Amino acid sequence: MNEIRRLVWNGTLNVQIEIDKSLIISTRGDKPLYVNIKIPRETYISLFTESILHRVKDYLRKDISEIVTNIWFEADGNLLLWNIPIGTSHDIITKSRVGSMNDISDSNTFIQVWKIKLVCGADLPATHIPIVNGNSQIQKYWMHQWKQSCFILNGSSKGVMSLHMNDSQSFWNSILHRTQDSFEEISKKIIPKFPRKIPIVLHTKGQTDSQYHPMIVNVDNEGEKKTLSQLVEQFSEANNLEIINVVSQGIPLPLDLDLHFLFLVFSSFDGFLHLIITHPQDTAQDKSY
Amino acid sequence: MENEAIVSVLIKRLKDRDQVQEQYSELFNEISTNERDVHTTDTSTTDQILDTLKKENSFKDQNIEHLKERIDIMNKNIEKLNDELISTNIENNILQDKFESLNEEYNKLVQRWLQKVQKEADVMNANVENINSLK
Repeated sequence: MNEIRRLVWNGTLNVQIEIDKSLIISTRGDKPLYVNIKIPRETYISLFTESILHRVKDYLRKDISEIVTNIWFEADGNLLLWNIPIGTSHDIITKSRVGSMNDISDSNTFIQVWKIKLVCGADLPATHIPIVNGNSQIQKYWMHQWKQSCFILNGSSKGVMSLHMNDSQSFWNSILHRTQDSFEEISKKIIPKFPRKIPIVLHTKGQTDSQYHPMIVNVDNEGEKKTLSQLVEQFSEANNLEIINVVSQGIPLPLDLDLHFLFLVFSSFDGFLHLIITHPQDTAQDKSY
Repeated sequence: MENEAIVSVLIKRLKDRDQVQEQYSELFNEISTNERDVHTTDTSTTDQILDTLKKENSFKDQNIEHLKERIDIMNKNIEKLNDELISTNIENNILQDKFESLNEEYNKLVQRWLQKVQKEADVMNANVENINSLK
């Protein structure tokens, strides 16, 4: 189980970020400016905005501090919500999924890249939560997520509220500095051995249109543990479960898995288990990707 | 035992996922959340000049924004003036029509008055002639 947690924590994405042309000095002409980074799946992308801009600061028309509040990310022309773990956003938006290197015909030339855009503008998109207070605002949002998760797990948010200041800070630092040990140590204080309910976020069609927060009890009245297929039955529009794919952390999941086990190994850094329901037409494999 | 099998399946899938990502991943640099702090110590003359120029640039950008706003206001003023000019023109046309009709009425009245006075003078002349002939 620890091995799975380690793999989940260390998962990364190769991302190519195109910088908005309005931010770049005119001497570069019309040439696009890219930043190629390896970003952890388990993080919010907005935590990296300043670092990304810092990499191209010599080409920027304005000082980073002036523009940082007016920035958001887009993938295929759609807003990328920063308040969803970036790995989950990737799994929602990216239709093609390569299971393993064996699926690829020409593995020598294959490269997996997610192309996104860093956009700057005065009019922020409607569903974007503006970041006016930098990382401290993101930290507050993240702590709030944990309070909600703790409430669902225990029936009260006491676990998070009564965390020692130092613990609270090192919990957040574990996200900033990618230290899994300290993250697991503090999250263990919040997550009980036998939770009442499992905190789940279910993404069915997109980032915002069909996002559910189902209240799933860990053990039902008959003493049976809830499985993934029972959850999917409730929320999927498809009649036949066999054609449905449930993805989390970038991999398809077997439907007979017990939700509590799934939460323990696959839950995200915000205290929720993010599951993405996809249909076969959405996941047609594109080998040239 | 069954649980162990599931765990190994999941581990394999996660490892496959990572293997796909690792292909040519050396082209993608790792990034930390605080890179800005690491590099701020580098303050060469070029950097300082660049910073000053950026500030100047953003000042000019602000100026452009202000001027654009002023142009917008001016354009609105021009529109208002044009509207007023048009309404004054219409008013002028109406008054011109009214003036012409009044002028015509006045001329007619003068004509009628002259005719009346002429008639009275004719009567008076006839009376005077009658008196003279009787004498």
